[in-house]
Amino acid sequence: MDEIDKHIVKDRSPTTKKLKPKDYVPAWGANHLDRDWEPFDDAEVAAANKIGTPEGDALVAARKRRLNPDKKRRQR
Amino acid sequence: MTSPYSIYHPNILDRLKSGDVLAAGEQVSGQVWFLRTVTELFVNVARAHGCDVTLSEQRLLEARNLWLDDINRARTEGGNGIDHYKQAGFLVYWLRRRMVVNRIDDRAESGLNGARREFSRFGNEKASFVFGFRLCLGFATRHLPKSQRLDVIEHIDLTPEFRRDTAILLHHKQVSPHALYLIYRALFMDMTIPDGDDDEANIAPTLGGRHVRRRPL
Repeated sequence: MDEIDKHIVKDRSPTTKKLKPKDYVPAWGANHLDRDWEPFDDAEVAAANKIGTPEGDALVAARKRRLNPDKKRRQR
Repeated sequence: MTSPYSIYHPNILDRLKSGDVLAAGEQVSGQVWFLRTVTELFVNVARAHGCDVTLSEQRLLEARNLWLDDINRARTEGGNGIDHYKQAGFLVYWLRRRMVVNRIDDRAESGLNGARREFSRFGNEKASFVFGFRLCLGFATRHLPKSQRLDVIEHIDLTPEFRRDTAILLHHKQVSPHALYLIYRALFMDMTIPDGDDDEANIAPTLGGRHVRRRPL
């Protein structure tokens, strides 16, 4: 334990003011909000609203079966 | 016909904050726009799962205030405002945490037994997560040519297993806004190598594999 502790310096130097931690923030999320695009039309809204729903899952499953007709369905 | 409160609009985040004018000329406040947009989407998601939901106005407005507080407080470095992923992360965090769904009614006649059962348990979390996903979807597909956008949207598969896992985690654990930001960003990230042979890599398969975009969403 002493071997480890000797690597720790018990200093009394001031800390926070010089570091100004509030200036150190990650840059994530500051990528600009881009509003330069067209709203979805009716067909796109209908398709997007199926994502994440049982109806969308059924469409995906049907498409996968079409692409892989020989693959057996997974048994639960 | 597309609802005026559609989430797939370039000004959706501005509308949720400050409101907008409807086609009929009616001015709608940010609070009301927020209430109607979130409620419409939650009801649609619930019905797709064979359920009906009622949302709490008070908790919705609390979630909106907390979201706006966070967005206004957030410090950015080297950018021009907070992007859609981060705003979605904060918003979904508060929608989930304020538990905006007041009541879930099971519509047995829909026949969607598994989906109904799951939504009855995790409805708030499922709808909140899908809300954030759809909020990002419009922005994430903004670089696609109009002629290809529908095709790309139709090929997106947000699998039931992934949705179940996120709902369970959101329900039982503390998932921070920053974690949600990373989740949404990762979902739409294209990890395929430009001009490589691995366009069909099973990473971001829908957007990456459509051969239309070669820059980060």
